[in-house]
Amino acid sequence: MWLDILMISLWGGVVALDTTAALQIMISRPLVSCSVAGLLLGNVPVGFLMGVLLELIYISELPVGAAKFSEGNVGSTIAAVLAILTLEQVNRPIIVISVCLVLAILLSMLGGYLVEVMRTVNGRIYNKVLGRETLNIKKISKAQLTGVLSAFLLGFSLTLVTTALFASKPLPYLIALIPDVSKEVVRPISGAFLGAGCVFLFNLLKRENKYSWVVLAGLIIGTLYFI
Amino acid sequence: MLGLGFCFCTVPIVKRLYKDEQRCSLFLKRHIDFFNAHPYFASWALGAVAREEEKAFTTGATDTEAIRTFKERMAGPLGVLGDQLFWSRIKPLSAGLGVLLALTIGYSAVIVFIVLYNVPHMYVRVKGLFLGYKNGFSVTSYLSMERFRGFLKALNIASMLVCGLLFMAAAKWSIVHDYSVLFAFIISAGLTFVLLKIGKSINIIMFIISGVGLLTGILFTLLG
Repeated sequence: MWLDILMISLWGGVVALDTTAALQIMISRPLVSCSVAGLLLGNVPVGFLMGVLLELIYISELPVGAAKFSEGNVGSTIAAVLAILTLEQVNRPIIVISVCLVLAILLSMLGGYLVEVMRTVNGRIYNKVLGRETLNIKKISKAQLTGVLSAFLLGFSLTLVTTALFASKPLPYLIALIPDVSKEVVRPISGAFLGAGCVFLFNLLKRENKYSWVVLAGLIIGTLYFI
Repeated sequence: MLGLGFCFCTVPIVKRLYKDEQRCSLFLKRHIDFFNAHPYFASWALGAVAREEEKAFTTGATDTEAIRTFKERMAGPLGVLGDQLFWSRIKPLSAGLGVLLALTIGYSAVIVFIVLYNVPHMYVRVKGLFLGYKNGFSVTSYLSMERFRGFLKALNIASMLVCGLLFMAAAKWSIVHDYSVLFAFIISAGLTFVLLKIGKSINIIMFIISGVGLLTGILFTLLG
């Protein structure tokens, strides 16, 4: 398990890097990052499901300029990891997935706070470089790599600490305490997340969009095709 | 940090052009200024800056203020264009389509999502770098919103269509799981819409939505 946690923490670091500091090729989006987490831990279906349910929640949280945002990408990845590792110990998928969906929100808030701290540190690094009398390639490269490394460390440490803290004992223990009949009580949470995600997406796309009415065409085609 | 990142990207140029430390320092100081553009479109400015710096080096020009001003003025338009195209359109459209396909065809949706997003992403990055390098300051003529109007219109229509399809695919996914899941899906969608209208934050909305899910479960359990 500890090797798994180390491996997945490295992935958490890559996810944090892709979110803002480097690449931005969207491997950090929950749909991808949770599926990859599932692949690394040998449970693709759960990772994939968590990714699908969480993908649209933070879609309107844009890492623009100095805007505050919840770190939904790393938060979702950790939640998927917790779900997979907990399921290895307690075989109650509906309860585990529902609890981890709610945990994803808390973890994203914590991640957002840490991003603010990281930005403050990066701002200091930048101002220090800016204030120098003379500059050379070495100084620039060092400052740049420090900034990139701090993003990686944020994702790595957040994943490492939270998975090590929760996945080994506390979360499986808590899940085991929940009566099995509760699975019917928590089952609708996945539908609730999906419903909210669809509206977050619609709300983002309809801004400055003169073709909002096309959504009706989509609904009609969807009704004929899916239902 | 984009300012620092931009400066870091100019390192290969300064390595090629300036060997003495003082001129190297002056070059780096010119490019470490605050630069807040969209990360994908920053390559357009980078290409143009590379061309103009090379030109200044070969002509021996000492007044490089024009390059600094150009960069300053480019940041805003590049940022707006990138935000409009990628953050507000291509990213949500790819994500929506990714989830839609995930609910219908399964795992291959992940690959489709990555490819769909990164084709325009890489195109803009690479094309911008070459276009900027080829045209120098004149790259601005390629940046009018008018050039992207048709593409934006297509994106707007496609994204709304995907959104409608996604709602129905998600509804079907919910029915397959349980009627309580479908009920929670509908109630949450409506409630999220209202909460967004009154300006609640995403985190608050999600806590309320989790509560809605639980209440739905309790209701359905009680009703048997």
